[in-house]
Amino acid sequence: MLIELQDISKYYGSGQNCVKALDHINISFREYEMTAVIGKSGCGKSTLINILAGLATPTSGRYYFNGNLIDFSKQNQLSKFRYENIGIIVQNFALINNMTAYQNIALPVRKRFVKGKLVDSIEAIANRLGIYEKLDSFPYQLSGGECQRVAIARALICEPKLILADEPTGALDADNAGNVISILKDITEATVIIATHDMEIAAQCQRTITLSYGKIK
Amino acid sequence: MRIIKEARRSFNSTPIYNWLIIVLFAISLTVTLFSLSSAFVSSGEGNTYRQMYGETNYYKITDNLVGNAEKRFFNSEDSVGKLKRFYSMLSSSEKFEYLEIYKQPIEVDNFKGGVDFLYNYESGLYENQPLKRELTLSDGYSGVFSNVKAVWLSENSFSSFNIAVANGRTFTDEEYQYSEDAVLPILLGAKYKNYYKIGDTFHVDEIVTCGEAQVVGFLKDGTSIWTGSHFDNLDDYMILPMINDKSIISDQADYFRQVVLYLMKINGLIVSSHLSANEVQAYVNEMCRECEIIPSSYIDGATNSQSYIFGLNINQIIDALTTISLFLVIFACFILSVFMFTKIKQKLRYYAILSLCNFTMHELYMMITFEVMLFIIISNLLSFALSGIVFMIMQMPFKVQFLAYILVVDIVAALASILPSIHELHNSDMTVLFRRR
Repeated sequence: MLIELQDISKYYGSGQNCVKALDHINISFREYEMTAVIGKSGCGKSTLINILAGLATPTSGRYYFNGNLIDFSKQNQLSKFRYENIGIIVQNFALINNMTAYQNIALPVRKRFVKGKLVDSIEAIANRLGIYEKLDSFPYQLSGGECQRVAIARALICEPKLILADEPTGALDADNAGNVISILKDITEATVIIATHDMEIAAQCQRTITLSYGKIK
Repeated sequence: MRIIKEARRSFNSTPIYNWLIIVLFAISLTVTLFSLSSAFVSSGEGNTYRQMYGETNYYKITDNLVGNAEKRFFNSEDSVGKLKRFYSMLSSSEKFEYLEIYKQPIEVDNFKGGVDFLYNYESGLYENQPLKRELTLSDGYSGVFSNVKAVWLSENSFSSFNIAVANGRTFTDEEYQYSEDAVLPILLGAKYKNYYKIGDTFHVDEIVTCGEAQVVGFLKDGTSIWTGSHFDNLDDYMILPMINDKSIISDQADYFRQVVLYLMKINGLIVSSHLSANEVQAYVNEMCRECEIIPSSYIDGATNSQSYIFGLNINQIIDALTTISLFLVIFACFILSVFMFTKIKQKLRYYAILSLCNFTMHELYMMITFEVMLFIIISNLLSFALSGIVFMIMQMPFKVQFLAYILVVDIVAALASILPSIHELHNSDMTVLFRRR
């Protein structure tokens, strides 16, 4: 198992205002598997993605990645964990508007690449995703589909073991959504978890998990 | 590296506001440096001019009647009467002793001494004029004159500096009173013994009058006086009595003679064993106010003397400068703090995206810190350049200690800018922010 979540809960607020985004869930994800996490809005999909990414701290429970317990109390370790293992894609692309596509893709990169190799890697990914010609363009010069492909390239640049996609097609038309899902399906070198409410996308994944009111159905 | 890169990118995203704030901060630092330097000079002057002679402080008093102030004063009614009243108040003050000492060269006919007796011999400027030159004086006397060193002394100056004669006599009481026809008595310094003898007469032209002068005695070898800034050895001086003139002005020539005489008499030396320069200045200010002498005479080293430029004293000017610099520094810190806080608040999504791209919170804090430091470093460099120009033009000293004050200002500005911004970032939910459009 690549990921094992044991009795994970995430509560927001307290007392009568307490919202149980995730309520004692136990779940595992295998390596190189493409999984869809589906459910209605507010069912806890994004919270699950955030916890898997190490961006949100669970209220209780244990998170094992590759057999190692993730310590949410150590921000620097979490960042290192994300850098080494996680690529994140979100609905609105989360691109920085005053950076070119190339600069956006290079943003997560630390010292791992020497400059020439970084250029080669970005160009290779851009070629693969069909955005090579757009590397010098700014996000506002790109279509939604192109923006999402830049975001996918950014998620892939550090060669992560896990790709987390939170509603990756939510802002796209049907054609572009289809292209993005095709790209995600083509990622064979990483585990892919897609949070979506779109059943068609879920149908294209190897596995589907349904969340309802913070619990797995 | 990527922290520096992103901080620079963030810094460059608002160039116009950045430079406005940098210029504001640089100006506030420059004014701070200027006020520090002014305060330093002022306190330094106080120490330099507070001259000790035994247990006694000697303060040089100088009139401030220059330029328009001089014109205004002498166009006012009874200007000579005002000078006389001021002199009277100085000489009769119970707060201090007043010595009339005034150095001024006199023209001596058929001078027997060498160049070392000439005015400005020590500075070398005597070379600009010949040792002897032909002159016709206002009384019609023509002769070959030399410009020699001389000093007018009041009677109490002799006792104050223990001035005594080696041969002859000192001035009599009558000789301290003005008399139009009297022969001018002159005491000579010890070096003159080789050139003149008691009873010798010669024609002189001095600042008050011209006429016949007679040698009445020689001072002891090594006789010295304190003139407000340094000791003057009188061995090569001619000494004249600082006369009093209570006569009523008879004509225009008499008016000018009395103006010159009383301007000499009010530019003397104040002696006190207990008063500070500022306390003496306060008494002098009060006297000048009573005598309508505006601006009042100033005491060397006093920081509360009235400036004829601003109508304020140096202390007030420095206080005003300090207040302005403090206000500017607080204002600049506040603006920088508000600017950074607003900038961070507007860029929360940007920071959220960076956190999505594996930037740690610590790195984001470092980015904010680095950006603020860029503001402060550039402002500092600009202010040092500005200060360098200002200090060079105004010939003000720059001391390394000033950097400590600037460092304190920098630290305050940095904390005021960094802490609220980091607090805002710390309390933001990044997982929500990067989903925003």
